[in-house]
Amino acid sequence: MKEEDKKISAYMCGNELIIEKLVQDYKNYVYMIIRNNRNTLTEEDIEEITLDVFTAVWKNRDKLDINKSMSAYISGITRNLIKYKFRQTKITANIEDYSEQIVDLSDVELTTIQNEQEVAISRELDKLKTEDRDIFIEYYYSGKSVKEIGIIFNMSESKVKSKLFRVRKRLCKILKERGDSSDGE
Amino acid sequence: MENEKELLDKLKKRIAISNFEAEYEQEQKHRRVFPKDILEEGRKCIMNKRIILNVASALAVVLVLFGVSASIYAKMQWEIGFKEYQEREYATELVTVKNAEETGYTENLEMDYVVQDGIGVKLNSLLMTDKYIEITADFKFPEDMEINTETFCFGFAVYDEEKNLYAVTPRMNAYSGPKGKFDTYTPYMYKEIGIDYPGYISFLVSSSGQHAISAENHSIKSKIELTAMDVFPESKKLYVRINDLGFTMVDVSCDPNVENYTEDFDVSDAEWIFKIDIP
Repeated sequence: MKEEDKKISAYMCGNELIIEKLVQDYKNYVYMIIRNNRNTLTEEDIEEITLDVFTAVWKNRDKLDINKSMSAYISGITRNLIKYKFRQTKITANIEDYSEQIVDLSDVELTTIQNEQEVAISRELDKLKTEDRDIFIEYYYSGKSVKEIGIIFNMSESKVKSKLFRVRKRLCKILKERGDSSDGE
Repeated sequence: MENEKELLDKLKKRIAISNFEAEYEQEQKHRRVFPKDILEEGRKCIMNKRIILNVASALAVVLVLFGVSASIYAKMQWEIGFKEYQEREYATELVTVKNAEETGYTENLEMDYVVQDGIGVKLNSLLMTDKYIEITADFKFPEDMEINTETFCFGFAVYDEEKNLYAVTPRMNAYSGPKGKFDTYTPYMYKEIGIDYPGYISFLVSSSGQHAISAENHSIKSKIELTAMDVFPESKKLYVRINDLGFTMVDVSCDPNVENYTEDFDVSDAEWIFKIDIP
């Protein structure tokens, strides 16, 4: 695969990862690795792992060595996540494909816990109106300002703020409940 | 597998959620540094202080108002008492000493009884020296009144035109009550005379007293005696007030644990004011 030869630096713009480009180049590559490792997986499982892979790359973007190959890193992450998902073995750092790469494995457990939260939040977001959800994503994914979002959605800044406030409030409630229950444990 | 756009949308949503979680975590850290409870406690503390201050202020205002009201009320009561005092029954009589060229001279005042409440009072004689004043006063009671020379007594006051207060002496029982006549009478008299009441008794005499010296035909002759602390001023006018006539028996016990026994009977609330011109 041609993309495998690309260095991580090709997907970085300053400190930010160009996620669209990464997905475009490595979506099929990740799919292949998953299929090769687990033929029994459903499409839904594959999709879930694929998302986890790109999310893990994005979360570790600060730790990436821009001079190393992106494919090796993605390959290692994918295989590790497959193992983790089925809890067949404990995660180890002995993964040949990216043994030379910098991967913070200690974060994998945390990432999974956060994923549980993410599922709950994601479900809550799905309950929102499309416009509210899109505003939330523009603000928290794209990093756009309230003013820019107002222009995109053709609404006043105060209305954008108000919508964001209401969404935050709903999501914070979930996080708080989860936080309280995990504290109890 | 789903198309790239769907995957990307889901990924964006995940990243947005992750960023939101990071923001939330950051807020939680901030709250851990500045816990809400502490902030709330601080706010409550400030609120409590404000409440206490407000209550204290309100209380202070109430107390001040109460104090002012009580003061005004007391002042009003005093004025009412003084007005009643001024409206009391009293008679004045001018007596002129004919000859007092020498000190120690006893002058028969030769005056008629001044009658109030059926009781006639007159000053019979005056003896004045630099250090001693003796006034004899005659009291004539109605025929149907039962009198007792031994227990008869009265209050008196002696002062001059310069507002020098020689003496103010209550009837014997005046001290016995919780608010004896002497306590109220004295300040009112001070005001009437035009003397600032100092709140304590300050006279020119070292001793003063009165006692009956004889009785006949429903009449009692009493003597008022004043002994100067230093010397009496050379007064040109002497005022003698006689009031609060009554019969009082006081059984004074030497034992401090035994309460004194008093028996008291008012004869008249009228007052006799004699003005004596001294040449």
